Amino acid sequence: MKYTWRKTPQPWAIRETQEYYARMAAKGWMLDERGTRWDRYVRSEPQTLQFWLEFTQSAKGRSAFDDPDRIPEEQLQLYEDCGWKLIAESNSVHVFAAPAQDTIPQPYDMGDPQQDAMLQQLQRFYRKDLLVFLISLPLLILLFVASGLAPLQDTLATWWWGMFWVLGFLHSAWHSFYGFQQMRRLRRQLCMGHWPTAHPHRCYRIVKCSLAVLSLLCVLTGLVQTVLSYDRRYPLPEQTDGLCLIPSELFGLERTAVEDSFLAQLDPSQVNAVRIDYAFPFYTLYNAQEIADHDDLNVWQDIYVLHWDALAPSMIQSLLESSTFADAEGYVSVEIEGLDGAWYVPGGMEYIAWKGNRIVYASVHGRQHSERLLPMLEATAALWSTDYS
Amino acid sequence: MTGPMTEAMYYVLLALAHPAHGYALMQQIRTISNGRVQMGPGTMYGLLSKMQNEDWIRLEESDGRRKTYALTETGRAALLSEYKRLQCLIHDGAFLYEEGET
Repeated sequence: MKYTWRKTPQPWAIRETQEYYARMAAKGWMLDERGTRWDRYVRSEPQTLQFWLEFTQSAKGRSAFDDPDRIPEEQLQLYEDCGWKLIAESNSVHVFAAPAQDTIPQPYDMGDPQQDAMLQQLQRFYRKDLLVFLISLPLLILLFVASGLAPLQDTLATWWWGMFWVLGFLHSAWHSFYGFQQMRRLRRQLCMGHWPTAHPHRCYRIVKCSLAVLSLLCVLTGLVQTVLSYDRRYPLPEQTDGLCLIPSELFGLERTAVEDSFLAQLDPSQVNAVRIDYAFPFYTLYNAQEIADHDDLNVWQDIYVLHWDALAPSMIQSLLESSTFADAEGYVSVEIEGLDGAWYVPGGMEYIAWKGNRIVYASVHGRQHSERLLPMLEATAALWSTDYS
Repeated sequence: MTGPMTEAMYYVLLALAHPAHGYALMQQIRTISNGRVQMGPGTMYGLLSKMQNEDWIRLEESDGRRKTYALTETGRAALLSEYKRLQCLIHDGAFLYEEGET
């Protein structure tokens, strides 16, 4: 079997398409499969045929079990009885062929139901796109609002998948707009008694291709960023109930479980929603007690695993601004070997450590807590450098 | 349905004097009209669906993909009513023919 593929003619150019298929059959290429973008032709003897494109009519009076995209079996039988053979079908379009003889009756002897059915199909098609557009619009707004609007710039510049979503949204908007224009054009042509013809619609293609290329670039950039940031995913000491960066060696701390009843009392606002957008999973509320002298030193830590490193500055800013016991101005940046960044509150209770795509935010409560922040940061860095993989 | 019937509808009802399936109806219509009316399969299927919805015809028998239809009482009444209407039209225009002959 020898095949060839040709671009599927535009669905509204019905007569042109029928004539095109007839020309191909005369050249010895018989339509074999009709696709949404490409038609497949099979090599055959040159034949003089006439073609007919039948669109699925409206569903009125049809059984609920009928395939909405397929013409009913009874209609198919009628066509076959009259000499029309179903050659190919796709997306509600059925292509029939018959020998080019006067004895074969034309499917319709009055009116042009093809045009009406074709318009119905196109309208249905474009309406679906419009629906996607209308649904994605509030979702996109919701995403930005949930992100807190402030990191909008981050969302657009750094979230490759966010950009991909925006481009998908633009694509949907463009397609809906084009569909609206296209329907208007077709109706105008039909009102004037013209059969719609194929047209190049270059503008539509240019915009569509540009959006597709940009989407592809976004995906590729995202993949590259993921690969680049993969090496920076420093393993953390993992214990049975999750990741832990509390330097247990220091001050004889022992990690203890947090009781559920205590967790239930916590104010959910302690975990800022913005952080969730930046971080993949986050681990929060670990309790460690100093057992050396049974003193009540507690360390609470949140560990955030970011989608990728570049989000860290935004995440740290968010943590500084929403810090529980100090203002952002109260924090002091400090250089600690082995960390990409470290902040603590002199005389306070909190510190932040950053390395790669991980950030730990900890608050220390208890006796001499302020004196212990820097040693704990240093111990954290040392602990982090240990290979736990 | 109100108003006059289309020619195609009239002939389908005429051809359904005896129950038949779509393709047989098309051939019957050609015979009745002496080859003047040649109905397409798309038109025929559309009319059969429409008439079934109007309760002018009913499904008599279903043999796989072929379905045999028969006239209902409503359909017969509609056909007779249309026949009378056409007779009136011919009667009203008969003087033109008579004037042409004299």
